[in-house]
Amino acid sequence: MAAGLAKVDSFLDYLRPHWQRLRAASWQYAASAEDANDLMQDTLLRAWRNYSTTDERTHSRAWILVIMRNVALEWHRSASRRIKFVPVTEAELTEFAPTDPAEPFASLPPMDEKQFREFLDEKLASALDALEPSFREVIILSAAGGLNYREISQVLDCPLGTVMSRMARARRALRRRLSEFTELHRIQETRS
Amino acid sequence: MKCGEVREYLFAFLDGELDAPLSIEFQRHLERCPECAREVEIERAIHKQLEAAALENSGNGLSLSEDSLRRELTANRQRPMLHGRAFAAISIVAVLLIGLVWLRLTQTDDRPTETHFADLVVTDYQHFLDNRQSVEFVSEDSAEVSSWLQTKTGLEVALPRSQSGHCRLVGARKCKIAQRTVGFVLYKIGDMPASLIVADSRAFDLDHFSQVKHDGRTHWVDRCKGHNVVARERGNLLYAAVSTLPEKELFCLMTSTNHESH
Repeated sequence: MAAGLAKVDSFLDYLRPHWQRLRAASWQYAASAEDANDLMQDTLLRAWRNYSTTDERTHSRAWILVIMRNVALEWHRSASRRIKFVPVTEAELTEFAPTDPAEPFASLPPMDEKQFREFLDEKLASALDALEPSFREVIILSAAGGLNYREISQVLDCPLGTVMSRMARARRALRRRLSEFTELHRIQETRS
Repeated sequence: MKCGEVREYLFAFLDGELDAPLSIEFQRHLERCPECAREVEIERAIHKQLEAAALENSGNGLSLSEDSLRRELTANRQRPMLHGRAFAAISIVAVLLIGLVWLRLTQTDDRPTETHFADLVVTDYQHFLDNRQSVEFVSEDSAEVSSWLQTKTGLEVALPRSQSGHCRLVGARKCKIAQRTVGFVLYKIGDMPASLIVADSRAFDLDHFSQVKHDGRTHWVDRCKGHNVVARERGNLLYAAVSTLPEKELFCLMTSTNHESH
């Protein structure tokens, strides 16, 4: 029993530095707070079952985010509405029409720092929600999961170059969405 | 560094993914280019806000805590016999299944010789085009595609390194031919598609092919359903190009890599 409790402690020690990031990621994948709680719980219990049988060196944040992603995918495949953000499959990660990486970014009107922060507070979540899932997931794994590109490539099981180009395209798409919001706002103001 | 390159590397820079020399060059450009510096600041603000919002939301409504998890895990640890029995039962079933699969595999002829290799690769190629399937990994870089295929298929794929403008690499996918995992590489020769199948040479026969010499090396050629197939063995691997193009056009896909001994 003592050895068993020591293992529980070891598992919790491993989890502690990743706890907040895992919660953030579960919040992004799940459709509600309750679902995020269940996703987190399912992920942790599955990780616990695998913890003793996998090499200690594999126990990284990427390792447990792979598990979370698999649980989310299983929920999605069972047609569950508990997932708001559908994880992308490997095939969807393919880059078909690479954009010119040197192309200028979508323009945003001049704003001072305060206005820009308020604008982001108001619009960023909607802009992120409007992205296609394959773009959204790399941003989520970076911003919520706190993963670097190599770790994201492990989670998505794709080459590093694919993550790098997809991240650039995703951020450009996010910028376009933000630009569209400002354009829409300008039109609405003109009409009123 | 020019403004175009700054835009290309901007996200990798913000994510700390640029190597030191490139990062220094990037920063030097920002010092003398206010427009690029503004773009970087905008993207930095977006990035910071994304992270802050994600972490801020993470606590909302989540009731699971470390203490509740500890209680759950400790409770799980107190049911070792049930888990032990379940594990033993699963182990026995798994051993039986592995035995059955092994018996089945050892009783099966290792080589799928009933269907000719040319027919197999042409059928796969037609299926790919007819069903408008897509490659899984898109890149014009032969080293990158080789590396991707190595990871996906376990085969030591080494694609021809230099491609002329006439013969362009599009990308690759992993597929199965006669239950064997193979690499499928898509090229464009002029405006026409062509595939290059990379397979374990021990798994397939070239009995029905004709032997030809090209650039002093042995190649194998065949024709099937209006398609030409040109194949060549390199090490343990078989490289087979398939297209409706004339046979001579496919030899560009048989080129040696720099690593290969001539």
